Amino acid sequence: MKLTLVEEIISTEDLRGVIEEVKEYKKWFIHNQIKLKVSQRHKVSIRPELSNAAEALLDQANDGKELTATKIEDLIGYLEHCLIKSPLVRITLAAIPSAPIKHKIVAWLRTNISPSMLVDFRFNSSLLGGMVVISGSHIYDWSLRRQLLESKDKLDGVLRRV
Amino acid sequence: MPKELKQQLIEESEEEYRKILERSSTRLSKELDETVERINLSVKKMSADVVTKELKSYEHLFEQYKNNALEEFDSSKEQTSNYQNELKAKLLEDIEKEKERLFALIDNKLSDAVMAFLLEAMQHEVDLGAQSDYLLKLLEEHKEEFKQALGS
Repeated sequence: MKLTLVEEIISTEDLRGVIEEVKEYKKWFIHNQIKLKVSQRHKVSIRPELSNAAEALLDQANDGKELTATKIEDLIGYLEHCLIKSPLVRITLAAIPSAPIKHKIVAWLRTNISPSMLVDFRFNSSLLGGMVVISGSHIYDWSLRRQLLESKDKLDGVLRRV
Repeated sequence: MPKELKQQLIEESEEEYRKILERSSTRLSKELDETVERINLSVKKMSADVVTKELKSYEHLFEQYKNNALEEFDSSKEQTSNYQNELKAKLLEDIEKEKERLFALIDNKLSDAVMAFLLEAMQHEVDLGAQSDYLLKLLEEHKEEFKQALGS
């Protein structure tokens, strides 16, 4: 069984949310299995509604075959492992990023840097553009504001020529 | 010797003696006058010499003092002129430095004003959709840097 984080899971909060969902699903699943074992006549309780992310992960877990409690347990284990071990970056943009933009950025990071990378998105309008990335103790300021401030010396020359 | 003869001899002697005395006295007086005259002349000449010598000495001293004073005056004048030139040069230098400082200050303030204006004007209505390609390009440019940071 090969498990990968789906694009809907971007941040640690998203991951925690999905873990809780899958745990609740597991409870329901086991409870339902027991009911069916005891008597086929028992009504199956309503399957809990899951997010797209949780559904996609459960599809990965069952791998086209029958879903079992063990597979769900393995999935929870994998997700909790990601929560602890996955590299985390904080990206600050100049505006609140839309879902497509978040997915694009996360997809690039998971393709080029680490497949289980998690990203916390923030926004700060004073950046004007670009981004500020914090990874551990490293801070990368690739914002338009920084570029403008670094070019301040050139502005003196421009003002004199005007 | 008869008394009258003796008397006559005595009178003739006295007359002779008197004449000799008169002649001597006259000669002495004349010589004395000449001597006094000569002494006067000598004294006058000596006085004149001394006075002339003293005057020359004073003149020489005066000339020396005058030359010293003139030299010192010229030296002071030159020093004053040099000092004036130094002050002028220093003043011009200070003015130039102050000018540069003020220009730099104005440039700095203008730059700050322009930056503040740009930041204030551009921070609203930021369109991330238009920037999405640019954001991915930034990540691509700094990929290796990123990998190294995560690796460490």
